[in-house]
Amino acid sequence: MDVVARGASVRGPRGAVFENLDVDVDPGGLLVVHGPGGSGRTTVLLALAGRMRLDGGAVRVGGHALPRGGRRVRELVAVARAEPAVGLDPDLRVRELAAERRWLGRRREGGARLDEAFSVLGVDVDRRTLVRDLPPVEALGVALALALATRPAVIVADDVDRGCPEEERTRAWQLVGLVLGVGCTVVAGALDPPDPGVGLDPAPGLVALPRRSRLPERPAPADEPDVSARSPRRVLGRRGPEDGDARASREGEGT
Amino acid sequence: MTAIRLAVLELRGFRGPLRRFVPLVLCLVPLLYGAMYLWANWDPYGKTGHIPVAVVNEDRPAETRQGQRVDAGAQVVTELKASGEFDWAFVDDAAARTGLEHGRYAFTVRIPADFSARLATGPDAQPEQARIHIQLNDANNYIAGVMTEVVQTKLQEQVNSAAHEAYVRGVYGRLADIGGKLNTAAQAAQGLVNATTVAQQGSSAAAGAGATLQSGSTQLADGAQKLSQATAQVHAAAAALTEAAPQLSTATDAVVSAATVVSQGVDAVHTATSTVKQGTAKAVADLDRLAEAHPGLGDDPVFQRAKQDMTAADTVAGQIDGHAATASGNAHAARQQAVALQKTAAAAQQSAQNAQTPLALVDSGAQSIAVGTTTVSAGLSALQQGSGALKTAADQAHTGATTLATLIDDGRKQVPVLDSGQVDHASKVLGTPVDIDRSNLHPAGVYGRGLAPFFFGIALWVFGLFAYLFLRPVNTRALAARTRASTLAVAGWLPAAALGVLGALILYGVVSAGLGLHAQAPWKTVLLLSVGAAAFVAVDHCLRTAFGTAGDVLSLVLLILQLTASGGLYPMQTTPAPFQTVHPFLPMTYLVDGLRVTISGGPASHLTRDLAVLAGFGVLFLALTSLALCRRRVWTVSRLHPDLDL
Repeated sequence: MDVVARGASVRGPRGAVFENLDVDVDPGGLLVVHGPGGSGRTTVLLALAGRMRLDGGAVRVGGHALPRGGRRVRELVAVARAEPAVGLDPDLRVRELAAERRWLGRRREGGARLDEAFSVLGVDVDRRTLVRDLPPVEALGVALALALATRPAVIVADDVDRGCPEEERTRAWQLVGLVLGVGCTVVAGALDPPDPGVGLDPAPGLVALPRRSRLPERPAPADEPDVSARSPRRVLGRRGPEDGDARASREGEGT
Repeated sequence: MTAIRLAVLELRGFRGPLRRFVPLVLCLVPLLYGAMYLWANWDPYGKTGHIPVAVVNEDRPAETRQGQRVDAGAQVVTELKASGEFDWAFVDDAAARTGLEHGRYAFTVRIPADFSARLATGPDAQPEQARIHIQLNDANNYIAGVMTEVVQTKLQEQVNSAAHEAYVRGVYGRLADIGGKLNTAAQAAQGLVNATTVAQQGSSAAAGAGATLQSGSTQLADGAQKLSQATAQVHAAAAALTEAAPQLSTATDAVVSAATVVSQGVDAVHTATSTVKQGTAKAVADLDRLAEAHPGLGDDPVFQRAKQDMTAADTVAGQIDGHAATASGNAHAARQQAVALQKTAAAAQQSAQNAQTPLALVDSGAQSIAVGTTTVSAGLSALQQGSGALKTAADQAHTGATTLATLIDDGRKQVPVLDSGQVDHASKVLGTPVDIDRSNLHPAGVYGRGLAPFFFGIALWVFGLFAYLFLRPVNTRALAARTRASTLAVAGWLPAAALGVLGALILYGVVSAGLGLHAQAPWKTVLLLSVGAAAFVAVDHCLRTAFGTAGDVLSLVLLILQLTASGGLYPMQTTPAPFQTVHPFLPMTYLVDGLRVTISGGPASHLTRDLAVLAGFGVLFLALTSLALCRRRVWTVSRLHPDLDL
């Protein structure tokens, strides 16, 4: 299922979060939206998932345009993780989340689908573990598996590389690759774009988001100019190495 | 089913050293809000005995005009001591003033010096009201002042009963006087009745006497007729006598003439004899002067003889003159007798003539008497009629007097004659002539029990407000998934509702067991509390879902509005119109109303309605929450990053 955005804009009470966003994701393709915390990453992801009110432009998923086709879009797109809007409760156990997933569908997705999804992603955790006790990569795996179990056309997952040390990032992106492997389109959010060494197939399209100055808790580094809320049109392409500095300081933040 | 599972899951999320206590703490929120106040103020009016109150008695005993002693100040003090309504301190004026100023006394009761004196004026024509001054100080405690209204009523009762004893005794004393006077009047009326009886008899007798008198007067008329005839005969005889009288007059005139002639003759003789006597007396005197002029002559015998002869002649002359004088006197006397006779004859004639007139008078008088007696007879007839009228009048007077006597007697019977016990009772009754009998269809009893519905309502609302500070109004994973909005709404509402019901049960249990609520219908109370809690949570849930943090503020506003407009505290009629307008639209209105029914009792129809309305509120707001959730499936920036978060 393809995901297309043309001149999409979302504005908040303090100004635009992003404007004139153009995106093209082919069916079964991967889009990585990367940027530091507060750059509007989560907002972009939710917008592409049909779960954010657009203030301008258009978003189409599988030919269903927002906002009229929003209901259909939301059926096609599963949100694995987009905190703070959607996330896994840290105080719930994996099995509780699994049970919840079974209850949530209109038609019950059986336990078999869930187990299948876990096995496809190779997520093998003690189901009694609390989410807060899961390693970040396993938490991502659980989130992706829970989403995958509903057999969506598109999965949206934010903070793919959150909390991951360098060696685990590869595993995180590999999980995304496994989702792609079952033919599901993925829109992922991350601090940094995936390392080309991961060998994602197909190669991800990238949207780089600049830091926005409005977040007071994080003073902008001197070397990064304030691009402010009015971001220029994003160009699909591979990331440059200049974005790597923000990673350590922005762990665990969603936008 | 899904909703229930999701709800359970929601509660399972409370893990961790502190978070695990959140549901428990939430369950205790209603207890905190509902029970604490009720515990503190369960029965404040029953504990007024702990409130210190100063009593200043400056009263001096007095006496009523009837001599009754009134010492009402002391009586009031005694009654206050006995009542124990407040913690009375009997102090002087200065101590009371400073104590009130500094908060040692909640208020002061001052009995002024003229208290008894004024009460003693009760039986007077212009009784004065006695006063007791209660001095408050809201700077100490306003409610304490309000509580005095209770004691004011009781004071009034006690003082009134004391005062009325003085009043009523005086009044009944006067009543006894009036009774005595009415007795006298009754006796007098009886006397009057007796007197009119006598008058009746007298007038009867008078009528009889009138008849007798009339027959007497007829006889008198006959007698007068006879008298008249007799006087006519006498009259005729008198006329004959008058005719004879002139002849007698003529005869007496002749006698007088003769007597006059005789008298004149005798007088002439007497004159002659007197002249002789004078001559003889002169001759004697001449002889004496001769003897003196010729002293020797006296001794001459011739001379002496002549002198003797002369003296003898003089003496004889004297004797003759004496006889002549006597004869003259007799002649005069005879003439006078003749004149007297003449006069007598004239008088006789006059008398005869005079008799003529009285006789005529007597004659006419007798005739007048005859006429008069006829008149008398007629008059007596009128008199008899008059005495008949008199009898009638006497009869009427008697009837009147009898009626009067009966009336006075009745009046006397209506004046109560009371012994002292009866006066006591009467004074008690008159002391409070109207006994306001207060009964209560469904008594709440103590203050706390009466206000429990209100505080239960507050507690449950505050719970709803608190609950969504800790609970998520909606499962966001579910919101992002394909779950129905109604399921989401119920799933988000149910955890809080369940905790709310649990909290309500704890509240009810603690207030029942700890404070003694003794609800009339415990199970219905529990049911209503549960439905109320669920409904309130539904409202709070809806507000929180639709408006986020602003929903909590709205809920707070609603709480304040319901404090004022749910009718839980003061009657709605005392509140301004806007509150009365919103009153029927507030859920707490129905919870308070229903709880009153289940706790104190009342119409079951109210309870049914209240339950239905509360359930309706719950369903309505769950539906609204569902609607809101349909829109919440699409986020906005402000929702993702709320400007305001709690």
